[in-house]
This record gives sequence, C-alpha cells and structure tokens, in this order.
Amino acid sequence: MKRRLALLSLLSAAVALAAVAGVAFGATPLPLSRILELLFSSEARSANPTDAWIVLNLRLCRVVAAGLAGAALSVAGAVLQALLRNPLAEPYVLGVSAGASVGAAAVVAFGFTAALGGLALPTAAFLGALASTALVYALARSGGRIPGPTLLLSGVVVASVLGSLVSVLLFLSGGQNRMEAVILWTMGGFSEVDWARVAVTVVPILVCAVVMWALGRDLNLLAFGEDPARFLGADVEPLKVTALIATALLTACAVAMGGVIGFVGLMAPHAARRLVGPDHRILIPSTALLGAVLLILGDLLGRSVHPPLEIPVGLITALFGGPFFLVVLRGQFRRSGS
Amino acid sequence: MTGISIKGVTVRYPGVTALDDVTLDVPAGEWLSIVGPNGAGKTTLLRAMAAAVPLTSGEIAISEEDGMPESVFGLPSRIRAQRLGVLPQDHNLPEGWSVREVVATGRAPWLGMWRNEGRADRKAVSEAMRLTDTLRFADREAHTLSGGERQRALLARVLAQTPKVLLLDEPTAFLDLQYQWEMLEIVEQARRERGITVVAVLHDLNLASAFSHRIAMMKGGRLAALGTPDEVLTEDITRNVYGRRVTIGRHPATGRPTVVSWPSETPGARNTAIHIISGGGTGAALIRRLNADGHAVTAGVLNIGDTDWETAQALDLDIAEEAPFSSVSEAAYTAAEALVRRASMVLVAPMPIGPGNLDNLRLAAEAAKRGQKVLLIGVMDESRDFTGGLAGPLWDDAVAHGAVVSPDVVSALNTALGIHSSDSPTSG
Repeated sequence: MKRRLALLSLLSAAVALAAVAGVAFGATPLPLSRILELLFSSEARSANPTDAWIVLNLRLCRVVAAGLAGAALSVAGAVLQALLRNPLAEPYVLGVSAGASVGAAAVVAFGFTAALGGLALPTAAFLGALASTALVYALARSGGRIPGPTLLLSGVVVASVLGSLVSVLLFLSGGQNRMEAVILWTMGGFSEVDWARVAVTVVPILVCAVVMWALGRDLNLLAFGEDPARFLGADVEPLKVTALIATALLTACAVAMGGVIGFVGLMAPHAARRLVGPDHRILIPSTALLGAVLLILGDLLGRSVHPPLEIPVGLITALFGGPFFLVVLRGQFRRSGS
Repeated sequence: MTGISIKGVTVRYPGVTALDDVTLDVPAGEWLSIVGPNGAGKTTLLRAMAAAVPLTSGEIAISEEDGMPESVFGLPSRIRAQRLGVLPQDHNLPEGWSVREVVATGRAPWLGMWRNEGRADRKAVSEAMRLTDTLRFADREAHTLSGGERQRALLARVLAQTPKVLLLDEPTAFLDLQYQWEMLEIVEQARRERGITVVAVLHDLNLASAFSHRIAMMKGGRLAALGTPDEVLTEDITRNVYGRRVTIGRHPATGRPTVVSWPSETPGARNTAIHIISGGGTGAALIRRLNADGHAVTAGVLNIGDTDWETAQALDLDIAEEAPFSSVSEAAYTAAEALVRRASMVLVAPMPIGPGNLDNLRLAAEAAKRGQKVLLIGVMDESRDFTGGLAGPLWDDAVAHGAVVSPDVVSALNTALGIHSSDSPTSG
C-alpha cells in the first residue's frame, strides 16, 4: 500500500516536471522566470500580451491537452487489454482511433457544427469510435471467443480503411489547407488545439478514468476470462458494455484534441505494469499518469527537433511505439509456441 | 451446509437440446460426480448450476440447511459467488500475476468496490494455499506454472472464495495420474473439513467411483442413471451409455467398483468351442482373451473361489466346478467331460498338478485319446508335478496321442487362434 502511494506520487511528480518542460521550451525562447510571471501574474500578462498568448494559449494549452489525451489513450489501452485478454490491444491498433477520426473529419468536412457547437466534433468522434469498436468486436468474435490474431487483423484492416476514409472526406470537402487537415486527423498533433476543445473533453476523460479505476477489481477478474470473472461475482455483460463505451469515449476525446495518435495506449500500460504490477486498482491511475508524461514529452520532442517546423506527435509515438508493438508481439508468439 | 436442487431443467440451443428435463437433488455435503460420453450435456448442466447458461425451462435452486430454496438465477452475482464456487475448464492466466495474487482474487465476491483485502481475506487465502500445497510457489508467476501446479493454484483460488457448493468442470483433465488423485484428494479434504457440497464433471469413471457418494450418468442431455457408484457403474448401464463393453471389478484398496473397457471386438475367428483346463489364475488371461474374440469358451474343473473360477463367473461362462480346495469329485469330472466332448479344442494351462487336480490332466489325456485337439502349455517337470510322478505319464500319454505342446500362454494363444483363422490379427 505504501509502495503504491509512493509510486503514484513519483508518477505525479513526473507529470508536473514534464508539464513544466512542455511550457518552458518552444520556438520562441523565454526564460523560466518570465514564464512563471506570465502564469501567475495578470499584470505581467497585460504588459506582454504576445508572450502571454504564447505561454497560456499555445504552450500550456498544448501541455494540458497532450497530458489529457495521453492519459485517456493509456487508460483505454489498459482497459482494452483486460477486456479482450490481449496485451496488444490498444485504441489505435484496433481501429477505435480511426473510427473517432472519421467522426471528427466528417464534422470538419461538412461543417455541421451548428446544432451542437463545440460538442459536435467530440460527439461525432465518440459515435465513430463506438461504431468501429462494435465492428471490430463483431468481426473478431467467433463462438464466444476473441482469438488474438483475428482481433489484431480485424483492427488493423478497419483502421486502414477508416484512415483512408478520413483522407477522402477531407480531400473532397474542398476546404482550405486540406493537406494540413489530413495530416492532423491521420497523424495526430496538438497544433490546432484550443482551450474550448480541452474544456469539452476534460470532464468525460476524468469521469471515464475514475469509473475504470473504480472497476479495477472487476477488470482484474475479466483478465482471467469472462467465465472465471462471472464465477467470481463480476456482472460481466454490464461490465463489458461499460468498459467498451468508456474506451470509445476516452479515445474520442483524445482524438478530438490531437487526432490519431498511436501506440501510447500500448506503451504506457506495459511500462506501468512493469512498475506497479498487473492489478488494475493501481495500474489504471499509474498508466494514466505515465501516458500523460509520454505524450507531453512526445509533443515537446516533436516541436523542438527542428523549430519552427513541427513533427506531428503521432509520428513520434509511432516511431517508438511500432517497434515496441513488435517486441510485445514477438513475446506473445514465443509464449504461445507458434 | 448448502444443497442444490435441479427440477425439470431443459436447455435448448437452436437445433440442439443440450439438457432435456433433468431433475436432480444434491443434498448438502454430498459429492456428486457427473459422468457421460462427450456431448452428453455434463458441462452444460454444471454451468447451468452456476447460472452461466440460461434455462429454457425448469429451475435450479440452492438452499441452506434450514432456509428457503433460492433460485441461482435470482441471486445477485456477488452473493451467488459467495455461495457457489466454480472451477471452469477454460481459464486464461494473464501475465504478471503471482500465484498468491491469483488466489487472492478468489476473495473478490466478499469485497466492495473500494475495499481492499483485510485480515480475514488474507487468512482465507493462506488457508486455501496451505490445503492445496501451493505456498511453496506462492511468489512465482502464475502463467509459468506447469499443468498440475496451475490446476492446484486455481483450486486454491476457488477454495479461498469459501463457497458452500463447489462446482468442478473436469478438474483432472490433462493431469497425470499422480496429480489427478492429488487434486481430488484435496477437494475431498476440503469437503470433509468445511462441510461443502461438491459437484464434479469427471471423464474418468474410476476417479468418479473412488470419490463420489453418488454418480449421475448422462447421455444425450438426459440423466441415464443416478445412484451410488455400485448402482450406476454396472456392465449393462455403462455399455448402454458409452456403447463399449466393460468389465466391472473392485478396487483392492477402496472397495469401490472399477471399470475396465474392452477393445473393439476383433473380426475373424470366432465361435470355436474351446475348453480350458486351468487353476490358480493360470488360465484367466486365456479365458478372457478367447472369450473376447468371440469363442464359445468353457472351463473346468475349477475350484469355487479360485481366480480362474472368478474370471469365468464374471464372463458368465459354462463351467464345471468343485468346492473350494477339494479334489475333483466324480460328479465334477463327469460334468467337465461333457464340456470337453463338446469342444473342438482343449487348452491345458500351465498350472501345478497335485493329487487334487490330477483328474484335470486325465481329462486332457482322455480327450487326446479320443482324437480331440489338445494343446498343452509349458513342460511337465518336478517344478509343476506335486503328485510324486503321476502327472508325467498322463502328460506323455496325451502327447503320444497327438496333443501339441506350446512353450507358454502367448504362443498357445497364437496357436489356438491361428489354427482356426489364418488372418487372425494376433498370429505371428
């Protein structure tokens, strides 16, 4: 128990450090003392409106968005891994992110934001994520089981088809900066995020994460199989539905802020398991914090490699996450002896 | 003490009736084993008891000793898991969990959403691990365990759950002989110490016989037989249900019935009348084998209670018999001679000859003199002749009249089967 608290404090400190680094570095060099001034004094802000805008609306907003998206994707990954009993399950690999991205792109392309305003894009992303989750789940399921290879193949194909659909939608929409829009919604990045978007997604992300944390013990049971979980007193069907909706919502919120960002939901839960073990009661909060750190640093890396150009954070995570996926996959095959 | 009662339960899937009007009461504290061929509905019945299979009709209720019966389907999942513990056949063991952590998940039905394991929970876990002897690998990763260790760890988990009724689905599948017995012995110990009720689906009829109070034998979704091992494990019932011939014996230590299955009947030679002269167990193998191959086997004179006599009795053969430890009487000799005359072949097993059964050898010698086919097994020397030299002349007499000598039982069998059928699978 004490060890768990210590680890959580350590991870929280890491999030804080990453956030400070994320705000401190950027294309416009600003000393740390100046940044602190701008953060905490309204006088300083009105004296330097440009610097204030850079720090608060560009950097801080990005850091918060990246942190939230990282936490959301990581929790979604950990939950999917327990739910599907597959260590490779993850929103990007399973096409959930791509589904959310289709929803988002449809809103961007056709511009029907009128009815729901700022909620339109996250809502559409959520519906897209939910639909692709259901689709992959239905495709992979055979005779009450979800064979690992079928699941991954279904996910990869669905992701690829939906990714192309996103590009087609955006090209056909005829808006300006089509290329940028395609890059944003297929490769991911936080360059377009603003406080309004963060405000819409923060509550669902926190609520879903806390609900999944509260269901940690049931997720533990589910990792042993649906029957064993049932026989240990878990209400399996409602649990599965809740978990699938939560992962779709978490993914949709992340996508609404930063587009499709792969492999965070794979790397963070696996690293967290190494740190705190497989118990979801500690794994969920740990993986959320670790995911936040990963994506804040990834975003920072993307915009500091070659300023003022930015490398989309999705490319950064794919560069690290792809090989990571292969290592886990290799371990899986070795274990199953095939 | 909690029992479970199943009333008129039918489970139908599209195109299949998995359970067909099954009614069964399992009183508190009983060990009931469910046996039957593949696809008989055993696992479906067990899963139905655990409310994991929706019933088409009927009801399944559990009841405390002095309480009202409650439908297992009506209980909230957690309450049901507090009373019913299930060891399913299919089980995923994810990576990273130590054996102790896996066993501790057995406490889940007793814990609230935010409540962690307390002292009582840790005690239940340790106690279950002690009973299953899993403490020595408590800190190992569960998914690295061998089949037997893994099964014991999962048994420890369901015992840590402290259920009143334990439902086991093929707990011994894929385990070797030692682990099979060990698993069920642990379950039996838990049953006795905790007064729990055990319902186990078992494939192995001998294990079911050794451990159960009662056995439910199923076929085609129906209850084919229900009763004590002695009542259910009979040659007729077993043959009807499984479609294979069996012989029921007795376990030398437990006294429970044992089931030995027969090979499929071999095509080829059959219906030859063969008379076997033996004693003291020297002819049992011959009798069984020739009978299995479809020959009309007779035997005698045999002393009542002798091993060969028991064998012939078990197979319901025509025999000439004599009182235990008595010399062959005139009546018995006459009866045996009648059987010998009807036979187209006489086999003499390598039994010792004493004054009491010298007449058995005389039977063979007389048959040879009549021109009947006689097969003598072994040699007649002082290791076998306890008559002071009377057996030798009779033996030689038979040989002189055309009796064939075979060195041992196996070659005698081959000769006997070969004489009548050149395509017998055992020849050569």
